[in-house]
Amino acid sequence: MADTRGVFIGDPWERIPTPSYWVVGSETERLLGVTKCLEWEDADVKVIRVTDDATVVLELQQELTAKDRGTFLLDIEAALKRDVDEAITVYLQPKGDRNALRRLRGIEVKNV
Amino acid sequence: MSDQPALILDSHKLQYHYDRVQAWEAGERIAPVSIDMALTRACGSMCSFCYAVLQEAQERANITVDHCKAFLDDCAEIGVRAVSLISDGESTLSKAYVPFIQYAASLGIDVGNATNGWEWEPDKIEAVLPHLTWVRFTVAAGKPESYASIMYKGPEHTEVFDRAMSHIRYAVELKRRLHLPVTLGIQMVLMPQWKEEILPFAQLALDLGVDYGVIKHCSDDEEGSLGVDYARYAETHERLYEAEAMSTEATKIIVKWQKIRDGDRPSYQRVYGPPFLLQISGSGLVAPSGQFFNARYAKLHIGNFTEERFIDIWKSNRYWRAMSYLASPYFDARKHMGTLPIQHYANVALDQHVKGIKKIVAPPPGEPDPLHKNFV
Repeated sequence: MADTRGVFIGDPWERIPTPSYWVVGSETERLLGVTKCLEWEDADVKVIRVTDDATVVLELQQELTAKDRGTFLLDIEAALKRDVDEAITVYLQPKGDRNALRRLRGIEVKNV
Repeated sequence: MSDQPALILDSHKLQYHYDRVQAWEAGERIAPVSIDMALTRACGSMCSFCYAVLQEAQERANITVDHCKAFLDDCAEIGVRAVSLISDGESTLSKAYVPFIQYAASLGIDVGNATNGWEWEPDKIEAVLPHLTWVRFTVAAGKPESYASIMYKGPEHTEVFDRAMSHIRYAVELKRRLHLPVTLGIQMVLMPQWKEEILPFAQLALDLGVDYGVIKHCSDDEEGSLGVDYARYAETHERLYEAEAMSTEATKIIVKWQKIRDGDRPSYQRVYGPPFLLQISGSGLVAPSGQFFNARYAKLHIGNFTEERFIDIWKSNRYWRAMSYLASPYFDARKHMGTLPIQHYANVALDQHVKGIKKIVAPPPGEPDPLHKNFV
């Protein structure tokens, strides 16, 4: 039977997880933990950076359509939350505006 | 306008779609009441407040008339009640613009449109105005030189101001001549440093004879890429009160106080609004909110309606997984998204509803509907 569940609304007061393993480990240990998990998951991504607040910035090593990349990255984030630290949030590198006229303003998308 | 239905611009209208609120709360898959979208990422303006600069996804698709008709058929089938052409591009530039509006209207879907008005010539106005519920023109300032500085290359380029004003005046005249029910307004996206532009903007709204002039905050991403200084909005309050006092029977001057006051500190952590008000990029990308269009937020990219039918995207588990992620403890609006998204009012109301702080309730029987009730 097809899944017909909509949005699951849990306890609205439940707090967002805060980094645990992440804050006690060194930057090298964090990077190692993330890399190991991604290897275990056989994820075709490159780690660009990990930050103090449990942000992991990745780069896809293959082009994925809009249909596929969301699920792929949410699966990766779920694995990192499960195996490394529940507070981890995954992003890709931002893209700048391709509109030549708007670019004349000189506004650039800042990195996380 | 005192005998007219209420024009709600500084709040949500979810109570008028209480059936959807109940279904959502019961865990059902609800169709969006409204969809905010663009038909292209292109734009001839270079507004210094433009959030579209921050919304580039991995790809850009060419949205055709056929894509639009299939999309609108799907919207009608699942029960979308309104579509606003705003989002991250100037839809009037698209070849699909006129057919989109005419076809949506034929299906009974309300359509609104925000535009700079530059490429909105009389023939285009005549083709779409009878089918539109509202049109909101982006007018960054009331003085031609300021307008050209903020929206184009510099103060000497006042031809863009003259062009826009001529098109707005034509629309106002056509509305009156044909007694069209469309609401016409102009909007100023206020950055605190432009406070001296507030009163000339309000005066311009009166002079044009539009139904309203609205002044709103400027959104920014969570890294502050546009450089909006929210702490300085307090400096604009006095001028904003003066502008509101300029309202006449024919033209209201409205300030989006709630958003200006909330600034970059939303009261909510979870984001519950997108199932009710979905956003679609001019690249064809479907994502819960326009603030996730950029490639950075690819984990929340759901699909592209030029590559697969919108109804299949809406029915997919990936659509509901993305929506549920935003409603989970893993998402914090104060940290993981930009400021004041288009769903802000809905997010506030649904958060208070779920927490039991203030329940959304259906309006009493017999209470007249507000204007544009399908644009939540």
